[in-house]
Amino acid sequence: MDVLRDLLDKQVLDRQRVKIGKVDGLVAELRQGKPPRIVAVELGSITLARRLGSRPGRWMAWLAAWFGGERHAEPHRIAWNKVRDIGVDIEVDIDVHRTAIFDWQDWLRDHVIGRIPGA
Amino acid sequence: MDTVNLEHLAGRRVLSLRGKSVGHIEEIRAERDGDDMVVTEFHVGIFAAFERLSALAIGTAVLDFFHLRHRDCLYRIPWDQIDISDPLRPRLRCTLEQLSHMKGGFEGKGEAGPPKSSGIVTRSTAWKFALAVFLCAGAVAAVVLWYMTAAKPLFKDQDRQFEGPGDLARGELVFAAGDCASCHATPGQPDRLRLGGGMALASPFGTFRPPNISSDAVDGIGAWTVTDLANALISGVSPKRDHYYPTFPYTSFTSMTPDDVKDLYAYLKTLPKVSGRAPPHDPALLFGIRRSVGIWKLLFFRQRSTAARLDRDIVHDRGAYLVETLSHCAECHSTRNAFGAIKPDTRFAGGIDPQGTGFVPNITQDRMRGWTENDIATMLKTGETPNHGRVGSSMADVVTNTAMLPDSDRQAIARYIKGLRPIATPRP
Repeated sequence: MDVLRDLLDKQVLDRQRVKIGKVDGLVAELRQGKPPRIVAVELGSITLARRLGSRPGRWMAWLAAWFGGERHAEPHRIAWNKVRDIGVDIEVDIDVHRTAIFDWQDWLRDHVIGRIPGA
Repeated sequence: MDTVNLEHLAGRRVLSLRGKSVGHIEEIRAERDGDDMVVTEFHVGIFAAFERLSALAIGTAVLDFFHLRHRDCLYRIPWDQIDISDPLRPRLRCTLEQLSHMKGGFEGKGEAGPPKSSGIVTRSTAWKFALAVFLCAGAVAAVVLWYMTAAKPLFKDQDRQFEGPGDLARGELVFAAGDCASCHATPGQPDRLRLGGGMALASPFGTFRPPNISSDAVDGIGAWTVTDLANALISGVSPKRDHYYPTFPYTSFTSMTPDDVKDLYAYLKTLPKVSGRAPPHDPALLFGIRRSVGIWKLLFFRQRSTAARLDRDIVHDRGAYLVETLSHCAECHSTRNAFGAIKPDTRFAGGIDPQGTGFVPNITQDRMRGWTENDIATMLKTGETPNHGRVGSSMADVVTNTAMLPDSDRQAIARYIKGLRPIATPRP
């Protein structure tokens, strides 16, 4: 499998096939005398910002923490053993509503979109 | 647990042990190892990027276009030969010599891969360069050849050489000496002055049919100017700026004097109009393109030149003009090369006729030694040969015309013929 071609930036679906974001990063564990092992996929704006450089990554992490608290100061990480299928999309065995991934989305729905008349 | 974000490796420059760049990481290959997914190798080089983008063929073509394919384009580096502990500065763990053994091929992608060795690249580039040079040179040569083979008339309208009325009596003699009626008279009728053309002249290069040169303005040459006729006779170029096929003997007529052209023009104007055009020529495939005649002319036609040998004897030199130019005797009494041009060393020595169907006699002193000037002049008037025979075939038609010439012209022809150096008749 070609990691950058077949994994990175692919759509991620939870077990309900809800689109929860894209694979913004891949975390590999470095092991002595063994090949690096992929241990997690990362999603979210912090990971995406880090791809632009360490400074944008730090700014984005600070911003996320300022708005959402320390819970949002790190990227959303899904363990590799939760990955069920790799195809056109990446299917993971999690329930997105039990994670913090949709926190921003929920807050936006409750505080902004939901208050727009007719929405 | 030490971890690294693999996405940070994408596009990173890989440095050798000595700090030299060996390329950028374009792809990371991973494989299943039980329940784990482990990184097995890193793909470094521009071809890896093309592969990732499924644009290998296009990328290869672009590199070739800019002659950049000589660069090392793909390394497949095993996981343990790159230190990725600092993903912003990946480093080789092996030497460049070891790296050279990691040049990669392409595995069943159905796409053209990079070259296996730089030697192949160099040869490929050299071939393409040579092909480009060849094509450019060919294009330039084609343009030059197109220009050089264009039908260019020698005379422009209102050329002062042709001013004034022509002499009809002299024009009639030029017409006879030029043997015009033999080819241009309408076949199947007795009037030699009805010049509707159409007689089929077979040759190894196809069948050609002399056109209508009567004074008919539509089908003949009634609308021509005297310079049109001059360009046809002397340049072999039609008023429409096409080359004439050399079955029309402009190769001999090219040395005609302007006065003779003018007189002939005046005489032709007096001949009856004949309507209807001759059937089209039926040339061999290559000669169907008139422009090809331009190439032939480049090789074998020298405008306004003559093969006549002059010796300041007025009779001999008049004979030279008649034989070499107006009567175009060499056109039949010579053999031709593979392109249909007269072989200079067989001029007047006879041989296979231009139609390839008969044998034309040698009229040099090799065969005519026993003929006197009077014998020749008599033959041109009566058709009778000294041995009580008669000329036949197309020569009988020629005699019909030469019989109309004054005795002085026949004597002049005879003197020139008697002066031709002996040349052995070519073997058929």
